[in-house]
Amino acid sequence: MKKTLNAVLWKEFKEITRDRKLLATTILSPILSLTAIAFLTAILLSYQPVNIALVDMDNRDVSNWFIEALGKSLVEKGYIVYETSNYELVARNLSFDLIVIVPRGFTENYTNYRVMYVEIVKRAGVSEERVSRAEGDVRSIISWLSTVLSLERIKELASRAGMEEIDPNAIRDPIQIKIPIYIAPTGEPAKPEDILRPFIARLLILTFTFIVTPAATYIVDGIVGERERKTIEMLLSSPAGIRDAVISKIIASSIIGLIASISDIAGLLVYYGLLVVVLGGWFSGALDVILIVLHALTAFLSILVTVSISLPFVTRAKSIKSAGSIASLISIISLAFFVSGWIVDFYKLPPNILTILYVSPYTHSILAIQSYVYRDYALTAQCILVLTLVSIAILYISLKLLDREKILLASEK
Amino acid sequence: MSFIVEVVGVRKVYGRLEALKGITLRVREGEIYGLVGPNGAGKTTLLRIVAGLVKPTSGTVRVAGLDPYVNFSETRRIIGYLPEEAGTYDFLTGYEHFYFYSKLYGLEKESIEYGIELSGLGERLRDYTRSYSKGMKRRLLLALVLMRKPRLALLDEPTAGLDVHASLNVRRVIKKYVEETRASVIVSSHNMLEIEYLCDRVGLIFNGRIVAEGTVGELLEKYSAENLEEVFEKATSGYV
Repeated sequence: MKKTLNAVLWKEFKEITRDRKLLATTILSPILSLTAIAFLTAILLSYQPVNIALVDMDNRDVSNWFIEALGKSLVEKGYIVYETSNYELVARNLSFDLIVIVPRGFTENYTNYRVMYVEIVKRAGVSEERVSRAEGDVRSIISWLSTVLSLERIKELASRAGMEEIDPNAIRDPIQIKIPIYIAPTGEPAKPEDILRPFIARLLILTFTFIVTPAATYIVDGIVGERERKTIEMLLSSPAGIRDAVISKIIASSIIGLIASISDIAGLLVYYGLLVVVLGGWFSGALDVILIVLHALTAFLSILVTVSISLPFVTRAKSIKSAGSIASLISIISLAFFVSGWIVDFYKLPPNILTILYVSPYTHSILAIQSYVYRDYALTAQCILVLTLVSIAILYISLKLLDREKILLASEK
Repeated sequence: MSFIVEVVGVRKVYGRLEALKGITLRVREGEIYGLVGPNGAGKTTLLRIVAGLVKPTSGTVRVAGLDPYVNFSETRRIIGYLPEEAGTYDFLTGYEHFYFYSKLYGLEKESIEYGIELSGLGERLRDYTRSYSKGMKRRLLLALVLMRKPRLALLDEPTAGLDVHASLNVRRVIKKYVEETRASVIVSSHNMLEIEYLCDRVGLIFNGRIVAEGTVGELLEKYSAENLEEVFEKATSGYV
């Protein structure tokens, strides 16, 4: 490596390691973001109270049994349940989000072999997601209770017909599905970590957004900030020149990105650890060493691409604000891809759509991770190769477009 | 007579603004040349062109016989450039600045020692430069430029914004440097006293043109003036 580049890199690393605010935000940002997502998507959701009123207007032995069984199951699922026979009372009370009514004649319909109706009342203006989730749970418990009652009826009818030996389940559900099993991409029965890995991979793709953004910010501050702090003119007039100055900034911003990537993994462990504590489960084996290395490599190349694309615009920006806006715009494009990579399985997209998406280097970043999870190692290698070549090509063009006069005078024109 | 700097018919146009309108000047080896003019006269643009940072729109520039823009790498060993508003790196100490620039230019330990002596900052060199006053930063930057003993030092407003004591210190450093090395210096300023104290020859620059040139004595005699300010007033009266 050239001596001048070494010298500028030495200066960059001194500045990075001594800038506590920069280090703190780079390291803490992924950890805090993932922890916040964990809280918002899982913990708060699981603890969000939904109040359900069960109104027994029949008030006889079968309706009492039904209300008691339904209430017990709902409490076990974390709902707050209130039992009453006064519908008017709970209908006017805004704290109840969902009301289940057992009408008069419920018990009589049971004994007469008629359909036993139950009414569900939802309060308007309440978070649809919360109430729908509660309604779904109510419906599944009622379905289970309905099964219990239908089996009792079948048993009784079988007894009357003198057919006690038959299995009531065979009458009620002649075709049944066994508990589904998972298989790995190889076709072998999947281990628990095989089920979890795609989820982890998607999270790793989302975390690219926390890596690319600080790296883009650093390159803006590195070039435009150096101009605004009036240090760039002496650097440009030195033997280091413009190319070494910019290359050292790119290397430094990539290092910042790698620090963020390590922090991402830590954030991921915090995220999943919290889910395990709250929801139960396991996660050992889901993060393998190759996946971590692949994540770091893909992160590095994604940063290189982003920084290289930003470079010609950033160096011509008049102020740190306009340079920041340009870098933000490019970061937003990467964000759009990485967020969609979190939700959408790019690996499963039809070829005609993927062909269009291949124009963006971020598609290769996403596919590098997703194809590894599907054990399509040839595609992983291909994506990394394409990403490397595209990064180098864009970087080469960006460096060719650099002009010391433009960097120096951009803010003065 | 050999010239370290030869600028012939240099024009520089930024969009619709013509910053330099055909400047011609020559600086001799071992000479301190003063470039005097008000803000916006074109001093900084001219120095940047001589430093090889900015390309002239037309005209020729030679530093030790080389075009500083085209032969950028070769002329780095010859030219030392101190920009008007140069800054320091907040998270580096004064010593680390010397280390950094010595690595950039491939200098030996003796150069660093010379720079440290020129700066006169003593124990304060152990501190991060963000704690330095403006005067201390200027002395540090000047020492960084001069420590490698360039054949040509381009000093753009070296005392701008400094108090009397700091300005005197900087001037002494420049004077001492030229006496020791016999290097050439172009120093720009709008401080006439400073120019009188430092310079062998002076070029008065106004509105992108050199309007008068000579030794201080020659200029005073030519314009029948008592000081450079009066010379400047008389020399620019036809261009306003």
